[in-house]
Amino acid sequence: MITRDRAATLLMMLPGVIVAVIYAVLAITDVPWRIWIAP
Amino acid sequence: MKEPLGRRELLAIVLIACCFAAGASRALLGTPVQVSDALETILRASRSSTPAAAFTRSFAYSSQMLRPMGYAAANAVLLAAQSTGIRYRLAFRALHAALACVLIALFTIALRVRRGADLVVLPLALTMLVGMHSYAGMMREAYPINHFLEIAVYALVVLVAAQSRGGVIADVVAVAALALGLLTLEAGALIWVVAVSAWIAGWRGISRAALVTSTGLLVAYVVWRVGYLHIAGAGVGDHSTGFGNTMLPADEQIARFGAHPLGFFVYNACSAIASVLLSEPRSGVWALIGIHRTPAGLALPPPSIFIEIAASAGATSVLVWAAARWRRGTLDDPQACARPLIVAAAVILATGAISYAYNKDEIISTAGVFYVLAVAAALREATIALAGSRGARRTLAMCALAAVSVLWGWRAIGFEYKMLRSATMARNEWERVLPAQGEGRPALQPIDYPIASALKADANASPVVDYHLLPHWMERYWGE
Repeated sequence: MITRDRAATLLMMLPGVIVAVIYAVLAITDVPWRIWIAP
Repeated sequence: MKEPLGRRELLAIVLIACCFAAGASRALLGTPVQVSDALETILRASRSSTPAAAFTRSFAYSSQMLRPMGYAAANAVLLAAQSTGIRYRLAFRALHAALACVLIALFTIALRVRRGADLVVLPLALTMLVGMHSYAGMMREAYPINHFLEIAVYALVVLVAAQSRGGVIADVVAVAALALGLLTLEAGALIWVVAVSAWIAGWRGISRAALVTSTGLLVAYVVWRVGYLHIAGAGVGDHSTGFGNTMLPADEQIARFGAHPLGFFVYNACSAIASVLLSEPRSGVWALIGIHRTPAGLALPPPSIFIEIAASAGATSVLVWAAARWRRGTLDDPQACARPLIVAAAVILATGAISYAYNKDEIISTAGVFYVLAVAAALREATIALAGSRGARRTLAMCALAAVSVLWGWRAIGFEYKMLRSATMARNEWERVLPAQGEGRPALQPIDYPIASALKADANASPVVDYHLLPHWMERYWGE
């Protein structure tokens, strides 16, 4: 079960961790940009 | 929250920092060398046979700026590229990317992640670092080796030396960083501010003797620069800058403030400080003042401005909250919170002082890094306070911190978009060079053609995703 303390911690950490993952993906490929380009 | 970290957590710290460093490096490696500012510097540096010759020749280039290390380093990179056969663009960009990685590594070390609460704050602190508008300046500014990034790295080196147990190595590193910084850019004086303010705050890794030596070095630099080389600082009209809600060209600055510049200087200093704390104004221009009514409705700035202001206001509020608790003596770890706060306050104020003549995002870049360090210390206290609170107050605080975290996450992703934008523009700039078209291009001599042609070929070959092809909402919500 997720305690309130852990929920608060997750809420604060999660956006930063998501950004870190996005940066890691963008370091490998520019596909995330290309999917926005209309064919 | 207060328990020490184990090996798994330390691995997580390294992994998170590496993700941010990798993202920034890839964005830099994909950016061609710019024409504006960069090409002229590279060509000037290429006319000297050695870095030392490029260093001394640069003294005559300007009556306001003394930046010999930039020319020496550009010359060294050119020589290294020629001797190894590496393409010029790759050589310059690899150095830039390496500096960005060093900045992120030093920032992570300076955060002093020791306990659970520190680890909670780390991803947000790194997100804030790359999301700051001043960070984008360190990556996008066109100089071949970004001197604003170099100054931020030297300043962090000195901070880490001050945080260390001290010794001869810490002293030598601190004095050497100041010497290199002063020869790189006028903002190198901030390195001295970091050394002195860290000592005042209680970090005694740099000895008193090294601080005295640093002060002597700074005085000697000023005497040499002003007294011997006759290079003073910038004055009114030397650079374009904003005032109110518009940019002022040089002639208008002189007409309005030439006779009585003090008010203009105070405006610029206050604007630089406000820009660090609130992301507004930008280059001296207050977007919010420009809001006006039109027949079609209110003319508003793009949403990115409001997002950036809201994110910075939230982070600065946490800083103010921590400062208030420090005064009341209710912080969990007063030293760990107050020390970065004191150093950041000194660097931000000093940045205001050196911005007296004009504003731009790059000048506040070092202050931006120290601002984030201070906010991270305040957030650490907020995390600990949150764990000890109950009821509606706790829920509200939790939502507020989560909102701040999401806003900064949005800004951080926007950095990658801005880099894409810079890369597209840098590549397109080369269309007007060789053969020269339009105005304002550097006048090339035949001797410059080999290097300029190679840089242009590199720019044309770079696989840039053209930002024009991306949806327009990205520019509106992430900014330019």
